[in-house]
Amino acid sequence: MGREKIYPFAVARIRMLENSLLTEKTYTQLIESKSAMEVFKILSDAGYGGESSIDVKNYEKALSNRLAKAYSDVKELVPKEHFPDVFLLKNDYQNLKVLVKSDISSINGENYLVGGTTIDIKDMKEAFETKNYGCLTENMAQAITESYEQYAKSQSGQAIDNVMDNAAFKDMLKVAKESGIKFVENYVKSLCDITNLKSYNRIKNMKKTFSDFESVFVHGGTVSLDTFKKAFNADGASGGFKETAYNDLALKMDEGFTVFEKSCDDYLMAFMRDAKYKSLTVEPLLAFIYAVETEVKTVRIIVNGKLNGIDTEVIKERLRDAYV
Amino acid sequence: MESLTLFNFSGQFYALLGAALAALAGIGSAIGIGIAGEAAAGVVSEDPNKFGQVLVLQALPGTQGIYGLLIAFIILIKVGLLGGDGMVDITVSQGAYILAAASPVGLVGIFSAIAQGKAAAAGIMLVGKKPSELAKGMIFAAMVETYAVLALLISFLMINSITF
Repeated sequence: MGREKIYPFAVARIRMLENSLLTEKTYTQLIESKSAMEVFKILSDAGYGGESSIDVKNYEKALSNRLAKAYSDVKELVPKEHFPDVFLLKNDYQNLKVLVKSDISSINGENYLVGGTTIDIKDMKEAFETKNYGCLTENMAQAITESYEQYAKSQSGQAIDNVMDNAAFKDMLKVAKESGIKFVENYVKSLCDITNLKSYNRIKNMKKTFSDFESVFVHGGTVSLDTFKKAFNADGASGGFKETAYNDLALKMDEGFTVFEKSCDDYLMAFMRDAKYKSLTVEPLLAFIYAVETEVKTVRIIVNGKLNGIDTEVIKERLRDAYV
Repeated sequence: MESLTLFNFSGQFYALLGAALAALAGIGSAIGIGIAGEAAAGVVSEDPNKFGQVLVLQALPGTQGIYGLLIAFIILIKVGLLGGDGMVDITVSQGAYILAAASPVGLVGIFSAIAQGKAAAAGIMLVGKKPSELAKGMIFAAMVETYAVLALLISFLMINSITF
């Protein structure tokens, strides 16, 4: 008999909410629509934007509302659990990056702050301004101090990103481990590996050196820095991952940048799709958040494509696999 | 010896213990219906119109409790507790027979009802996504019923063949 905690109410509710996810059919309609206006109309019909209709001005707001609602729906269903934070933490760190950078550059970064965080933006700003980091996690407080130090040394915004990304994964892994749920832990580890693979591919494409990769490498995944080092020195970009779980994915590097980035997202989606066959445990809740995140990403790709008059075929290539 | 006198109960006691054990199948039914009920509430929270459909599925794990009750009744009638003439005299070994005969329906009932509750919860979610598949969801949950019925059958046959 399983010892995993079961959440019949939460999972059943999530299954119902999954009915509101866009389907393959809607995506096809979206892609084949003639103009951005038509896209907005289909999105409005699908429930985006609530009561008000969507247009160029407010579609970003509608998308972020959609995400925020997914986060809060899941959080409400499991109020005592912290595992949904593995999705929210990246937004916290995004905000921290914005705060640190706007402090250094004295440019107001207000517009770049994002919702869907574990710590309220107001609280975070206050903590940041008063330098009283009580409401932040230990890793966040450390990352703030360290990012200033690193910036002082290198004078590059990239240094801040690196510090923050590493701290973000540390926090995510901590949450995942504390939850004691294997699925969550595996997700964070895969995400970590995928992040590294993406940076690896970019750096390789830009013909930069291994030390550049080392500086953006995030710890916590299953693929070690050593493996990356060997792969980096081998011929071709993709050959060095035969002994890892990512060999098939790595081979996509040869097919070009867009294909690889899409394959990375699809890899994580395939991982999440396992949750479709879990009926009582926590996996579907996480998968739902991921599904909505992917949906929003896909819709953004389509909307931006249509707004900029990009060819339908080009948009199609970039579409992520959907959950349902 | 001390340990022997501890278990020096009468045959009637063992017979009643058997009836009680059979009735314990209700534990499983309660847990099973509880799990299915939570799932049902999850579906109804989004779509109140599905109440009727999910209620059918929620009720499925309840049968084990009924089987337990049935066997408990048969035992009580057999030992004369429900007849009004008082309990008949039965030996310790006859009482132990009844206890043994009651155990399948009691034990299988507990675990099969929990398992059925989970299957029913999954079926309820299936109805949430695809309302037209109610029948299939019911079949999946009803498959578990087989083993509760088999246990009921064995318990019934055993009790029937015990003679005083």
